[in-house]
This record gives sequence, C-alpha cells and structure tokens, in this order.
Amino acid sequence: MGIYDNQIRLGLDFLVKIQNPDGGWGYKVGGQSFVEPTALALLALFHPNIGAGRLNAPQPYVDAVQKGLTRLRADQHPDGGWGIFKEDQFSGWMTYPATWCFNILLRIPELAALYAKPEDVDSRSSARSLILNKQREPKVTQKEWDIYKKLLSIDSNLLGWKWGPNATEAGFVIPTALAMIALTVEDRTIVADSDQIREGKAYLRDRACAVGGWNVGNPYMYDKQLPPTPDGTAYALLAFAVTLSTSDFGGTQEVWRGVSVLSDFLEETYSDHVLALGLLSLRFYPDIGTNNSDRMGRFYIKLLKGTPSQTGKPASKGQALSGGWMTSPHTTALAILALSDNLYFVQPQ
Amino acid sequence: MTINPNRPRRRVLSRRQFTRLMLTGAIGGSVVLAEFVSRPLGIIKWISLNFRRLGKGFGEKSQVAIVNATYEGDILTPLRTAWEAVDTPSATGKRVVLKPNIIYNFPGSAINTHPAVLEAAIRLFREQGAKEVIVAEGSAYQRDITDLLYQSGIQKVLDSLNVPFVDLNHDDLVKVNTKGGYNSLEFMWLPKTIAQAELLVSMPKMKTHHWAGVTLSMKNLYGIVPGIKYGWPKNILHVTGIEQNIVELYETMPPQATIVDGIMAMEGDGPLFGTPKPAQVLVIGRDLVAVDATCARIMGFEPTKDFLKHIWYADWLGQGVMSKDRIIQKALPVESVKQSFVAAPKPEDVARY
Repeated sequence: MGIYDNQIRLGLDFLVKIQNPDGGWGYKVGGQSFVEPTALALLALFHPNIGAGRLNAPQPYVDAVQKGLTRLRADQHPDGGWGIFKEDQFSGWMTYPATWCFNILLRIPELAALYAKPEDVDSRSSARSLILNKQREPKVTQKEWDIYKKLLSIDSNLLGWKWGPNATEAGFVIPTALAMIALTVEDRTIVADSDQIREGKAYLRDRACAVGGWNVGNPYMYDKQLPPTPDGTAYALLAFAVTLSTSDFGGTQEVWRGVSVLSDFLEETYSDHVLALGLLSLRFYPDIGTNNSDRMGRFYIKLLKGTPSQTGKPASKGQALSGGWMTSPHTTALAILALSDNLYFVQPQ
Repeated sequence: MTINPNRPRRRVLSRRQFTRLMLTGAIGGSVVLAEFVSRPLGIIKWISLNFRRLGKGFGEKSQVAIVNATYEGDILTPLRTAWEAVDTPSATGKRVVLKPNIIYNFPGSAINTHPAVLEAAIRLFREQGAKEVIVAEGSAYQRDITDLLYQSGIQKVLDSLNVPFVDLNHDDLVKVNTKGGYNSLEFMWLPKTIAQAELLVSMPKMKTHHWAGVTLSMKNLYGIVPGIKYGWPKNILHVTGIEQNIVELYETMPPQATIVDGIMAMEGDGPLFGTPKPAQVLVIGRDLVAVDATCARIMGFEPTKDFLKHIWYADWLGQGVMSKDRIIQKALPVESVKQSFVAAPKPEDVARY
C-alpha cells in the first residue's frame, strides 16, 4: 500500500469519469481531446497497483485505457508522429508524450499483455525514428554559432528537440526534456548513454539559467539574464532523473542548482499545476540543496489540501471532492504520477 | 535595277508593328516586375490591396482618444470619457474578451498591463451592459500562468470582480483560414475564446521592443497564439517574420478596439528589461493601426518603412491609417503628452531563438 493510494484512486476515478466520448482527454473537463493530456492520463491509468495495469483491474479503468489507446492509435500520422490532436496534420512535440506512453505500455509485460496490439511495436519504431531524425533542430553555420554565442551565450551546436515541424525551428527545453524521457524509457540501460541523449543532457546543461533552473530555453536575452520558470525547470529535472547515468559523474552541478530553484518555486506557488509537475520532478531529488523532507512534506500537503491566497479566495485548491485537480485532466494526471510510490512511468519493469 | 524574285526578302518591321512589339514587351516586363515587387503576396492580391489602399484615401478618418490617468487615481472616469469620445463599438449584450499583456514578473518594472487599468475596463464594459466579460492571455514564457497572475496583481482583480480568466495557451482551438496570406500559412489554429469573442479588446502595455521597435495593440496579438500548437516562446512567429505575423493576426482575427496602458510605460531595452517611463496616458480607438501610430508619436517615434515597420506595413495594407492627417485626435492632442522615449537597442537578428 502506498501512502496516497486513496487519493490516487479518487484521481483515477475522476479521469475515467471525465474521459471524452472520443476516448481522449483535454486540458479542461469537457474540452477538446489533445494528445498530451491523453498520453499523460493513460500513463496515470497504467498504475500497476491501483489502476488498470494489473489483472482483474476495475472494468471502468480497463475500458478507459482501451478507449484512450484507441484514440492515440487513431491520431498517429503515417510519418510516425502526432499533431496536437487528430485534425492537426503536422507532427510535432506531442509525439514525445505519446511515445512515452507507448513505450511504457510495451515495456511492462502485464500492460503489454492486457492492452498492446501487435502493430504498436511498429508504431513505436516509426515514432522513435521521427523523434530522432526529424524533430531535432537543424545544425547552425559557424557564422550563426558565433552570433548566438555572442548575443545569447549559448552553444548552438548542441541540438535540442523542437516544438513544431518547421525545419528552421530551434530546440527548446520542454520539448527536449520530453523527447529525452520518451526515448529513454524504452530501454534506459541502452538509451541513456546514447549519443543523442548525452547531447540532450549537454544541451540542457548549456541552457541552464545563471541563477539555476531553466526557462523555456533562453538563459540570456542579449546581455541580460532571463529568470528560470517552474515548468522549464521541472521538465528538465525530470529528464535528468530519467537519463542520468554513470557517465554524468561530475556533470550534475546544473541539476543540483535546479533542484533548489524548483523547491523554492514550490514554496511560493499558488498553482496546483506547478505543485503537481514540480513534485513529479522533485521526488527524484530528496535532500538536495534547499529541497528537504520537511519541504517535500509541506508540498504534498499543499498539493492535496490547497493553499489560501492573499485575496482570501483559495488559490491552489488541492484535490477536489471530485478527485481531480483544477478541473484539469492534464494536472490531475501529473498529480497522480507525483503521488505514486511506484515509478513504473519512468522505470518500467 | 532588276528585282531578283529568288532573293529572300528582308523583313522590315513597320512602325506600327514595332510599337506593338514594344508595348507587348513593356506589359510583359511590367507583369514580371510586379510579380517580383508583390512577392510574397502575388500580383492579384497586390492589385486588390492597392484598390483597398486607394479606397482608404476616400474613407472615413480614424478616431483616437488620448486621456491622462494615474494608477492611484480614478481610471474608470477618464477611460469612459475616452471610450465615449471615439467611435468605439457597443459592448451591450456582447461577450467581451479583454486581452492584456502579461509576460513576466519583474518587480518595479512596467512590463505587464497594470491591474488597475484592467479593472477599470472590466467595470466599463459591465457598465455598458456586456453579457459577459472575460480576461484572456497566452503568455509566451510560461506554460502555467497562475503564479504570474498573482504576482502581477491581476488575480486580485479577477477575484474581486469575479471575472473568469482563460489561458489561451491551453484553450480549445479552432482552425481559422488566414485572410492576408502574409505569413505563408494557409490557416492557423487559434483559441476558441478569441474566435467566439463578440468584442475583442487588445489591452497592451506601451513599451519599446528590440525587434519590432514598439509593442502596442497589434504586437499584443502574439498572445492569442496558442503555445500548445506553436510552442513557447512562440518563436515560429519570429522565424517566419515579425511584421508579417503581426499584420496577419490583425487581418485574420482583428480586435474591435484597443485600450493602451501608457500610464507607466517602458523605454529602452524593452519589452522585458526596459526602464519605467511615466507617460500617464490611456490611448483608445477601434483602428489599431491609428492607435499604435499615435502611441508611437507619444513615445517620440514616427513609423516609417524602416522603423516600426509593422505599423507602416499595416497602413500600406489598408488595415488602418497611420498618417496624422487621417487620424482625428480626440480629448488630448498628441503634442500635449508627447515624450521622448529611449529607443530599444536593435541587435543582430536571433529570431531562431
């Protein structure tokens, strides 16, 4: 039994209840189905002890997973990627969470036996190929490198992953982190030390803000420092948590500083979403920097109970009686993963 | 002299034939030249634009109101005065969407639309009988905007007036065909909240901008572009041309009015790191080109083809007017509030990032 099993069960019930008729989930209850929240909701529902990831799981969970996977399979493009939803014909960054979801499905024998289809293996391969070959940012010329180094203090020879399909786009922190996670969970022992993931880690170290942490991708705007943000920092730290290996020995300074920055963000935040995403990352870094067990305990209480704001109205409301957070399937899925004592979603076995 | 009938005759062009040939060549050359000049619009679009531009010269002038205001004082009264002084649209019975500019929280900086201005606007539209007032923004630098709303003071206003906020980055989306064709996209995915607005009001902060020169009511439209489709910080709009995307958004999804917060503006290294500059004005109108041109003049800048190009471009496209003699100034004249803002440094282009 995990400490938060009851809360997770309530959260899963909420996800099942608000699943769209088309099988997907949106960013808000009743909203359009998008690939990212659908993939994250499925990851939450895969929970091996409480969710659908076991034999004799409650039928509503089983049905929700089957419908959700049908939705994701139907939304995949012939090139192997996903747009933001079915009608979006261009593959982009939502390929990463979808691939993450399929990798967990195929990696955990119980899940694979219950829900995978033979064609999922090929679908996953074509998604992997797209991520590796089409979604990384293009190389820069020496002249461009010089300009970017001088003006933005970044090493643009380190290639990250893009948001969109445009051939001239740059890589950014959040898509890079998600792509690294998606690729690595397929087989951490092999992928975490691959050239692409090592370069991804170097990219993230290079894009760390001067004060620690990450923002969307630019540590500097010309000669001025840009501050870190909770989301960029949380995704980057989650990517490091999934991909750190012995080859990173001595190269973790940016990670430790990022942990302190994120922990400080969570101390101040009024956002359930920041709490859910932040805790999902910070749980991998206990007792590092300013992040200690007292703080983590407080953050979990905030995530569950909410935080009053200065206006008297509750800012972060915590888990609602409905079982969800912020009436958002996206935030609820992240919160469930943050509360789970089982790390099946990043360390599938 | 005898004529040898077997000798080939020398062909000589008559004057008429020569004239026809030259005329045909001139027309063909003009078409080719026009095609080059009109790229990327294409000649047909270019011709129709020129008709629109010519027509604009005979159309009504645009009205822009300037009023003084301070954050500490009553903002609603001068705002109401300005709103009623110009030909702004009615809000009665409409679903009004206010689009402020909320980017980052840098304490002491004039970076975001001030909550007091937003509050006055909400009260004004409720006073006018709006069916619903919504505040909506899609921040360029953060996926979750909750903390920014608190830090900027906006959330306090939303709570106290019980106004819903829509995060445009994660809103439901609708496919909207682009109307201009200026950014080479056939369509864009745009937030449903914006598409369904019956009165969309752009509420920018008056600021300098290192790439666009100034960021005002038209540039503020970058905030309606959803991050889930176009990423953060929406760089694809920079990669494919700032001016082209500004005028495209204005043509495709035009707000019906704008309220510019120029009470405490920003000069120098905008839009993030500039210095607060007290201009103590609100600028209001329904022609965003005219309002932005007026704001630029208040800041001490004149839009030209090379500086504040998006304003010039929007005027050239007939989306509005920037010329002083086509703008009817209401309430205060520009000269009475004119300042001399330090321009933003214009560094080398790093649009990729």
